[in-house]
Amino acid sequence: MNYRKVFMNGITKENPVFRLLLGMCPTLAVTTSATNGVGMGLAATFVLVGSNLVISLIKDFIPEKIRIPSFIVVIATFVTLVQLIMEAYIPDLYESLGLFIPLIVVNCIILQRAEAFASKNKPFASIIDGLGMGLGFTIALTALASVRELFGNGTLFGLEVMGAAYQPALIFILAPGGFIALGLLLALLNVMSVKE
Amino acid sequence: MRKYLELPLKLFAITFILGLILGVTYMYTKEPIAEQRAYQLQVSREQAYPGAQFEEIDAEIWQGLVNQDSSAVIKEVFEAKRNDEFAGYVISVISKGYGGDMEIIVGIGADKHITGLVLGSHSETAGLGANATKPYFTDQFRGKYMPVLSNDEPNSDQAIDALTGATITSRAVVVGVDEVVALLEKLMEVEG
Repeated sequence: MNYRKVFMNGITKENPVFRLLLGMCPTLAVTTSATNGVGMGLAATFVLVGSNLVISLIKDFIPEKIRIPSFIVVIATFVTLVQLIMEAYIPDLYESLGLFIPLIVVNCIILQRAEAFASKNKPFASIIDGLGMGLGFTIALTALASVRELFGNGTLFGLEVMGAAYQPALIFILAPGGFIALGLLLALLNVMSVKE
Repeated sequence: MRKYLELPLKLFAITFILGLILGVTYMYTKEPIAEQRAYQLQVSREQAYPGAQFEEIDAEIWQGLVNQDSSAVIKEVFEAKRNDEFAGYVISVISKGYGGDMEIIVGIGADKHITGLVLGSHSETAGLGANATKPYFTDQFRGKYMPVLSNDEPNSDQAIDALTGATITSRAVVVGVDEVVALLEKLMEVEG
């Protein structure tokens, strides 16, 4: 197995947001600032790696016919465990990522990777897949959030960029702007990949 | 027949084991989490009223004084003390924001002026309403005794500038503070 290829797959060829269009709900909801994009991305990566590993370890025990409910139970348990342990023992990390964790339970990227990869591959490869997918998700969220924050608030990672004279186009931070910015980014990436 | 028993039994086994793991983890993390939350609240109180000691006031004492018509609900009342002398109150109130309940912790001195305001747990929109936690918004309340939104009364010396694009959140904070001020008036009457 080519681990490099597995890793890069999630970032470019099968980028969950830009290529598979998965996890749109958290994507549009949290990308109002670049800092949020990074936070959500990292929290999802953490859970993705863990759930991929667990699913891969117990895949032989789960019968084909009941795999979906089993995956959902495993993922929901894992997310809840992470939330409890984080809040109890790493409060600083919980402060910055905790907000996003409940949103991850319903993130379909996690379930899709369990179904498409972890249930068919060895534990180590599944971890690599989780890392690649999570990083791809983080990059996509940060890119989208940067565009929205830049035009909608005139800042980037909370720092003033556009200058005081810039009148922020507030719509970019609101929900309609999320759809518009995502559509434009997807179009741009499609144009670029067609040229290649 | 065996096949039909196998699936539910295996699913049961999976959920049972995972439930057990979850239960044990909950048992062990319950205490630290409660401590963590209590500590956070203590920190918030200290920010709302710097340099004071706090003593919780029994809900029975203030429950009857609360205004029932307001959308904001008082949660906790603490008496603030400096050098063992009465110095005001720190009151937590739950107000309805744009994204749901938001907890506001307000410190008020014996002169009825606000000493500080801290936003606790909330679910406001990141980048808009969530900016209500930032000092440039909360610091506006310090020194006021009856804050109003500058949208409503632009010339008042009690005016607070609402957050851009988050008027509902800003209004919810002011409604919460109003409720705290109303309770404070009555508390001061009762306790003399």
